[in-house]
Amino acid sequence: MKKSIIRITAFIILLGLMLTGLNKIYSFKYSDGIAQHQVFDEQKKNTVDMLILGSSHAFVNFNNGTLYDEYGITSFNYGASAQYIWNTYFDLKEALKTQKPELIVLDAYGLTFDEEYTEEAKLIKSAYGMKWSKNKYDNIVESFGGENVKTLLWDYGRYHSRYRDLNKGDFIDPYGSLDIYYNWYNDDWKGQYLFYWTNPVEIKDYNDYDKEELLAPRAEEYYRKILKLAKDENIPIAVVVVPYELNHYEMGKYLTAEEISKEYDADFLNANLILDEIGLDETEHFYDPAHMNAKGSAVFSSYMGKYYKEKYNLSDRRNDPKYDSFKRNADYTRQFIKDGEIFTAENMKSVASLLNDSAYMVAVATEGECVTDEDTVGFILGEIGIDSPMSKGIWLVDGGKLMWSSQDGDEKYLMEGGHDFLLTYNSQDEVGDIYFDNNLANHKVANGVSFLIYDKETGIINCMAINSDYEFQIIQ
Amino acid sequence: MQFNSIDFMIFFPVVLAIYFIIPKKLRSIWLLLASYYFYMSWSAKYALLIGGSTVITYISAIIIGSMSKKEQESEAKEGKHGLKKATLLLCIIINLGILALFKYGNFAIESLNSVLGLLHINLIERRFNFLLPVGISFYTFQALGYIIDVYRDEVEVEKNFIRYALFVSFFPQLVAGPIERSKNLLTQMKNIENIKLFNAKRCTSGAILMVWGLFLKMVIADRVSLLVDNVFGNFRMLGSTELILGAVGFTLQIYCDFASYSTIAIGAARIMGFDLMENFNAPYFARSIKDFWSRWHISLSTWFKDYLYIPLGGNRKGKARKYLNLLIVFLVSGLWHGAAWSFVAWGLIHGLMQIIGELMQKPRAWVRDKMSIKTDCMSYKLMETIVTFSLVTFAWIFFRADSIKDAGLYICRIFARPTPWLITNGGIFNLGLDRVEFNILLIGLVLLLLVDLVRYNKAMTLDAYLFEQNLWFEWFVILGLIAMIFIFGQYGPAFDAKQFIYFQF
Repeated sequence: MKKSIIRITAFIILLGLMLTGLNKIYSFKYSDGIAQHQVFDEQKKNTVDMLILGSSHAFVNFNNGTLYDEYGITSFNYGASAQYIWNTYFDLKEALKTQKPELIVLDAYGLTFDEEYTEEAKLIKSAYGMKWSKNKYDNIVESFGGENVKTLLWDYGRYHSRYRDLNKGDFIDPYGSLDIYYNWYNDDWKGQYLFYWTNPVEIKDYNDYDKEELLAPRAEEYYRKILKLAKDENIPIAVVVVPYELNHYEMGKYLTAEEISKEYDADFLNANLILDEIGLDETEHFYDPAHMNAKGSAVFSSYMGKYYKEKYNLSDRRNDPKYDSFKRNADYTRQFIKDGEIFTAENMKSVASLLNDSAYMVAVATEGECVTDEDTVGFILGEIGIDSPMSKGIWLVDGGKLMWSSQDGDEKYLMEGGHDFLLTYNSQDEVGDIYFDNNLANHKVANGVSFLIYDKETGIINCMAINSDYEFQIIQ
Repeated sequence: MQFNSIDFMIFFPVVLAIYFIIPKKLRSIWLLLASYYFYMSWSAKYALLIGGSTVITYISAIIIGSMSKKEQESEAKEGKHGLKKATLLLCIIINLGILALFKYGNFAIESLNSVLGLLHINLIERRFNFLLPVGISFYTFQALGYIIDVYRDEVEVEKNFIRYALFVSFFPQLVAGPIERSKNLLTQMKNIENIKLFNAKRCTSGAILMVWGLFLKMVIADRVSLLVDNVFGNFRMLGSTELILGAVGFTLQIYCDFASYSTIAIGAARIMGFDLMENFNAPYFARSIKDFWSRWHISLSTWFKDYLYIPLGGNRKGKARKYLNLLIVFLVSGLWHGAAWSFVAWGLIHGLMQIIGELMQKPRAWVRDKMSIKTDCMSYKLMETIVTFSLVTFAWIFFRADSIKDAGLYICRIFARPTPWLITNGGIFNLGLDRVEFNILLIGLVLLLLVDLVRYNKAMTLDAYLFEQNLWFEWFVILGLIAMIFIFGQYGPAFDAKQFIYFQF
């Protein structure tokens, strides 16, 4: 009998370990929603002073790094894209289990939706990152209007079939990515998405608009629940409409929301009406009609940080070691923005000097008939740290110092930051190859110069080239 | 609720937990309640039908039993015997009548209309508007088996209504078999209070069978069905390779689907202390059609043998009568499987194959003798197995096709539209299963082959075989199967949960 009990117990433990491992591998790793929830749970208790809730309008546009750098505000962007307001309510309840923020910032975009329930995909993003609890159960059951809600309650049933989609991030480095469009994640991430690129937008002036639109019943119900919950918890709440290309219908909803917020003594700010005051440039600071780029988020957050700091007397946590993770995240964000300057430059000459920095390791290779004697090329290489180079070849520079060139040999391998880098040069054909992690990084142009830029602080790798056939235009 | 549903994953442990801890006297009642709950999860109102069938056969058995007793006691046997027979017949007619009405009512109307339609007569327009009660063929046969056994004085009358009702409705085998015999299951149920539930080996054995059953269903059957449905749905546009793959796929699907249910049923019952009869014994290793039917759906084939074939005379009245009896049994068997002429055709094909097989015995022996063909060697046995498998697959086409005409067209196209290049140019991965899914299916089939090989060669089920191995291997296999079910099982919203094929019988 005793032997049987031991055997059964051991088997159950093994089974549990196996299923836990499988669950960990197969679970969704979206950094939209799911990651925010999971990373939030890892925050030290009561270290988040500004809890920013809502849709991607919140988690893209509020720059945690800027808020910390300029005001010492420790913030976390806790939401999911196009999140419905009832999901935000459950997010707030979840967050309050482990944090007592000095201020709740509520992105109002979710108030503009007229739907009654959350669709599956959005619900997965809003709920699956939460730990299992009554709150998660309520979040799913109350949000989903379709049949068979119980099929959503068992996460594993949703993602067990991902075996053909598994990649590195499912086994190690869950939210890391080599794709420069998505690599804002770092070990101290506070929930913000950062975009490098710029696309001009056109935000209409609604300063004289006064036609109110009713909120959808369910949206209003949960909006009031959020405001009431904040009031009951004695936490100030500020509702914000983040700048984006809104329409008159949405504007009408915001007018109604503003009136409701007064009933709960909640601050309401429609930032679309004060773009100039904030300092946002529609041609420079936006990634798309609904989101700012990294530069824009820094400008926006600089303004909002000052606004909230003065109004709510938020604590300055700089120099407090308990909040060091926010400092590290700020460092990362700053460096990320700097990477963005380089990676989105239109002219390599203007940013080459930035690469002469301890953070960067750069591999350079001439392509085709392009030679370093060319003024532009020679200038760029000199700025990076390659002086008097041979006419054609391949070079490796680390922190502005030349480490290796094809003059030293035909091949150079190194491992840096967990990545494999291999530089090879065929002196007969005068062709150099740059590989990282078994991916060929160069040969994007027939004639020109290729660059592989590795930022050792952010872990981002980018491959660029300048095309000598087209006035050294940058090719990504 | 299906065995591979979340509902059953919650239902079974709860039922089991309570079963293990309640007082022994309450075990029957608890299982009966659980069984009716299980059945009513399909459709509450049809519980009345199974209840009605239970009551009718219960009362009939008591009447027959009392007449048997009086028969023995008195000398006036003839009168009593007549009444006994009448009661039996009435009971059979009522039960089969209910089955016929629900299962064959619309089929009969459609068939009659087809015939009358040839004469331009439009007699019956209305169809019966009700769903086929799940498992009606199974529990009806199980109840009839009991009443016939009572009539034959082969079993005692069961006077405990709860126990009898549980025998008819026992949830593990209620909706898709095995069709149990009163001599086996009811006898065990009489002893329910004496079952030692906390038996680690028995429970482990049952659990292993349930895992294996879920693997067959969720990894193999539901996966191959994606290819089968696609091929049979579009057969008019496909060629030989695809159609052969589709037919073989269905051969595997129906086996894995049906065997999975039986295996899970046997496993679940075993955990509760009951040993259900074996229903499948490596059927695709059969070396003749006759051998196949001794390995396939054993509970049904033995039921037909005991309650139809033998009463018809069996093989005791000459060869011609024997063949006629065989044909009748297989025609009825075909009809039992479904209310459509294609099922009847399937049954007929099997009946004919058996007859032809028997008739060809002597000529084949003569050929073997003349050509000095060795029979006691692997190559001969393998050939027999392959030929039998091919014949069975051929017959399955009729079972799966929507009509006899479609089956005929299907078979014609295999010969008329050769497409062998699809085997090598990757075309087979466009039939519903891509390369990755195909590979998973192949791994599953290899495991199935190994398990059935052990069954065939050593007459051991998976659980028994694993108990003979070292513990690490036993756990490795079980954990591996569970992992494969969790990863590759067809469940969750991305896939439609596949109905067990035999549920509508």
